[in-house]
This record gives sequence, structure tokens and C-alpha cells, in this order.
Amino acid sequence: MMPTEDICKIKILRFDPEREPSSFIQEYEIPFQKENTILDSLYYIYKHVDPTLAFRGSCFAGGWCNVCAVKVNGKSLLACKHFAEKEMTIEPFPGYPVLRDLIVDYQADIKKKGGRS
Amino acid sequence: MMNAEIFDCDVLVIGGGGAGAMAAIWAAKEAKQVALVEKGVFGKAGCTVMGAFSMCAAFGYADPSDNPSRHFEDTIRGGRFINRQDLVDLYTREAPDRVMELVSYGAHFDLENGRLHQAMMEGHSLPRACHYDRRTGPMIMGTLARQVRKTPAVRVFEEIVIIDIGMSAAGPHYAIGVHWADTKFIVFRAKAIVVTTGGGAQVYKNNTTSLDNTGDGISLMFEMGVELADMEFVQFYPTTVCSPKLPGLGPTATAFLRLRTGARLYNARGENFMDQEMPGWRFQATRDRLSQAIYKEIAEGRGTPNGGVYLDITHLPLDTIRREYEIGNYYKKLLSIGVDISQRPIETKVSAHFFMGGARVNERGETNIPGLFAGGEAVSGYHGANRLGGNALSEILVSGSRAGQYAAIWAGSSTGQGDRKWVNERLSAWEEKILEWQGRKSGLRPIEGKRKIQEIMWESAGVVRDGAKMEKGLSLLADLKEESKTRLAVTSGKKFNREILDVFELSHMIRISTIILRSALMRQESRGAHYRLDFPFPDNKKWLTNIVLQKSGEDVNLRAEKVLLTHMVPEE
Repeated sequence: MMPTEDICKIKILRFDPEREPSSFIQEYEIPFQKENTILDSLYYIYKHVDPTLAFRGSCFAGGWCNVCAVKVNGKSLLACKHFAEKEMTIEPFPGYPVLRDLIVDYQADIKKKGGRS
Repeated sequence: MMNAEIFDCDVLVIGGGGAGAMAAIWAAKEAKQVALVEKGVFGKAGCTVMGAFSMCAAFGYADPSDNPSRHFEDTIRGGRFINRQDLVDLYTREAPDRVMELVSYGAHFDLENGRLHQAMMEGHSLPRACHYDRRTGPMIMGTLARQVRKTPAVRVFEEIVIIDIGMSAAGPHYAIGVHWADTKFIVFRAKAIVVTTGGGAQVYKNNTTSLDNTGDGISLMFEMGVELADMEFVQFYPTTVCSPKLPGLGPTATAFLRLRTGARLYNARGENFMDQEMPGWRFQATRDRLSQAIYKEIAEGRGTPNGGVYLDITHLPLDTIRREYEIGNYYKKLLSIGVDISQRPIETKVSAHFFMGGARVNERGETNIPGLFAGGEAVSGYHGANRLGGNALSEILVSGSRAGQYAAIWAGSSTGQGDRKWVNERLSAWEEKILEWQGRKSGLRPIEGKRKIQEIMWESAGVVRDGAKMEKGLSLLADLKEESKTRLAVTSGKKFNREILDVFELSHMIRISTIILRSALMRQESRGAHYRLDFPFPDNKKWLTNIVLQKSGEDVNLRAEKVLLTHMVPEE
């Protein structure tokens, strides 16, 4: 067992219509590492705990590509720009339809206005 | 066509970074329908957005004696004389025009007296780097993405990974893609295809690139019989973020300390090793030389606790630091995350950054396969054995625009019917393959395969290489390839399944890693970014050559071709 101070507890609001029609909270516990970003934590879960977790991430460098926007502990932010905290609740970026887990349809408002994708 | 949406176009551009966006814009000047396919989110994915600062073009604003010939000479010297001189000639001549084209699309640059400010970069003899607020890449990519969206002839397809390309002699050609959103196939039928998928530095454990930089296009082209060249030359960036981590400033943020004001660079013993090796190294030490020097310090046990060396500007007066690092809010951003560069040194390390090698193309961006064009980091020839800082962002504009323009001209003369049979066969084969991967309950996860490659390549084909290590790397890669044939297991689910992307990327990473090692083994000398302990010196008598690779059955044909020294020869 890991000492509790070394554990990072993450609750993620998930949505996977192929398995389950409504969204649900899933809890993960991963090792807490100083200077790991929130995106690093999501990638850690994907790599070592749960390959079904879906999220976007490209530059992993702190706000260059801006595709990893999520809501963490109630605040909208870029997951690669902020260090992970020991307890986090991660939800999809608000205001857009959720396609799966932390992936939203960022083009929804463009499509609504009849714009080209 | 079985189970697949089909899209007809004159020109298909694969890869939506800076080179791809330029290719699409230029193709649309001639072609009625252009399709631009991007693996991630267009305008955001890829490495162009990660360009922090410099884009070189010889305007001569900062120093009137600058001109394309000087830029040419610096680029050839920096490339250790194995660049394609015809390509470098057109690149250095056209770079200023392409930068001004960006300005015409609304791009912003930092100005001085109403003209583009030009900063000094390492390896350049004069200041010629245009920039915007340490956000040059995002600014360029944002500008290009808006321009593409404004071009009616271009249709953008996002979050689609191209997994197969089939060329037929008279065209049209087919490319098979998979939507990340639902794992459905999409088929593109195009009269000409442009590949602008970038490099593949993700094959290394330590790298500076975006996660999608996995060499897909280079690998697909190789499979199709395209000649590649210079694949042994991978640029290692000498000073990347090590400790503390600097989220928000980018992986190469630490380089700004040495370039902007000059920093002291020293090892754990406090020895300024570059001052001894190369006085005036700040602008003279190119990335290959500096990476090798830093790597040597670490390998010989003089590295910092986190496996790097120190960059230090604490000797500079505080008001100088405040003034010089106002740009991009650099100083204050660091302070806000608890890092005061006026008070403490920063640990910095070496990471894989850029592929100098790629498809062999001519000045029109044509590969050896009719109708197939390529540009950007996916091609070879522009940067030789070592790319100069700031030459990537401008080169991709030139090579991308040319590939797009000539692909559109080619598309106008294409008349054939294409090979529908090939498409149907491949679609069935891929569908079966995905079922096989997803049907396996346990086995090799693609992400685990990727991790193995990153370890293998860092150990065997990193900054310092030798024959025995490379042979071992090749044999480990061969084992992994075998394992991936029978043991790959992918989680079920069709919607945004990351393992579906990873499984395709893994196959490309195995292929390009093997190619890098084969080329590196053949080049029995050290030149530019390719440094071998067992052949530590350059050998101009034997190796002023490009190693050209082409698929031959299940194997690789390698041959060394003499560089044509048409404009400039090495100084003795």
C-alpha cells in the first residue's frame, strides 16, 4: 500500500454511450508525483490503469495547442498548464455537448450557425 | 464501396500543420476541390503550434548585408554540406516572400521601426529570425488555419488518421482513413496527394514534440516505395526543460536563457565546459555540437541531480533580466510558478526535436511516385545533417506551398479511373485487423509497445551512437515487430478509442525506428546530429553523401548517393 500522502485521488465524470446511457463518476487512485500536470495524470490513467479513458491532448507543453481544456475542481482550465492536486474532480469543458468522457464537440456552436466544419 | 464514405477531390493533403495548410492554400489556387485531413484538431495539432520563437528569412532589416545567399551559406554550413543545394537555394530565396504572404493573411510579428524585427539565432551569421511574443508558432498556425477556412475550395477533415495510401499509375489515388470519433472508414479519391505529416521524434523517450508526431506519413510513403533520405539525422535539442518543470512556457523554454541574453552553462561541478570547448558558443554552437557536448557531461557523470546541466543568468542585473524577459511575459510567468531566474539556475536537458530526413523530393515537392508530393518535416534535403534554429517554420512554408501548387497542376492532367479493387480489398483487410486486435482479451497494449520503442531508440539511436548499441536496438525492434504481429490487444469500443490511434501509430514508429537505425549503421562517420563513438570524425572523402532508402520486398535497399556541390564546397 502506498502511503496516503503519495496518492492522487481523481474523480472523473465519464460518459460512454456504447456501455452506459448516462454519465457516471469513476474514481481513480494513482501515485502522486510533484510537478505532474493534470494532463500527465490523465495520460497516466490511460497508460497504467484504464485504457478506455478518453480525452484530448496534443502538445503536452502548457497551452500551445489548447485541446485539453477541462473543468477541474470547478474551474475551467487547460490540463497541461496546471500541476495536479492530490484530490481532483475532472469534468468535461462546460458549454459543449459531451461526445465521450472528457471529449466535447467544440464545433457544436459553429455547426448550429450553419458554418462549415 | 464497402461500408465507407467516399470523398472525391483533386488534391488530398494529409497532415494539417503549417506545411499542410500552405499546401492546401496553394493547391486551391488551381484545383477545384482540395481535401485537408488532420489526425487531430486542425489549427491546433502537430508541431507548428509549438514553435516558440524563431522563423528565419533573410530580409536584411536588422543588417542590410543579409541576403538569401548568406542564409544559404549558413544553412549549408550548418547542415554539414549534405543538404540538397538546389532545395536550399530556393528555400532561402523564397522564405521572405512566404513570410510576407503570412503577413498578407493577417499574421502579426514583433516590429522594429515599422519592419519585422529580426533576432539572432545560433548558427546564423546575421540576425534574421522573425518572431511574435514567444508565440510565433501558435500565431502562424492560427493565421494559416483561418486562411484555409476562408478558402472555399478546401474542405477540412479532422480527427481522422490515414492508415493506407494506394497509388495507381494514371490516378486517381486512394487514401483510407479512420475517424477517431467512431472508428468508421473514410476513403479519399484524389488526383494528387501531398504528404505533410511532419517527423517522428515521438520514437524517443525524451522529446519536445506533440504526441501525434509519430512519423505516419514517412512510414506510409516508405511502404509505398517512396525513396527516403538522411533518416539517420535526428536533431536533438540541447537545452530543453528538465527541472523545474515549466508548464505554460513550452519544452524549449530554457533555450531562451542562452539565446536572449547569453547564460552561463555549467555542469554539476560548476565547470563552464562550452567556454573551454568553443569560446563564443552562444551563437556559434549549433544544436548538434551543443547537444553532444551536454550529453558528454551527463554521460561522464558530471550531470545535475535530474540528469541535466545548468543554465544560469543570476549574474545579470535584475533590471536587465526584467527588461529582456518582458517578451512573452517570460520572467513574470516563471515567477508566478515560483521560479525566479534572477535568483537560481535552471536544469536543462537534451531531447529529440526534429527529423532532418524524410521523403526525397525535388524542387516541386515530387517524390519518385507520380502524383505523390510531400513537404515540411516529412521531406529531406533542406536541412542536411543539422537544422539551424529558426529554419523550420520558414522552410515548411516554402516546401508546403510548392508541393501544393505542383500537386494541383499535376491533378489537372490526371485522367485514369483508379484501382477500386485495391480499396475494397484493403478495407476488408483493415476491418478484419481491427476485429482481431479488439478481439484479443490480453496481450501487448499499443501504448506499451510505444514505450518500448522510446526506450530502445533513446538507448541505441540517441545523441551518441555506436555500432554495437545500434545492432542491439535493431534486434529489439525486430522482436517487437514480431510480437506486434500476433499479440496486439486493443480495448473494445469505437468512440474516441485512443488505443485505435496508438495501434496505427505503433506500426509507423516501429518502421521509422528501424529505418533510422539502418541508415545510422551504414553511415560510418560522425556528421551533424549523427555522432558515433566508433567513428567519431567526419569523413568528407567518403561520406559527402546522402543515404537513400527504399523498400524492397520485406527488406530495405540502402545506397549512398554523392551530394551535388553545385553552389558551395566544404572549406578544407
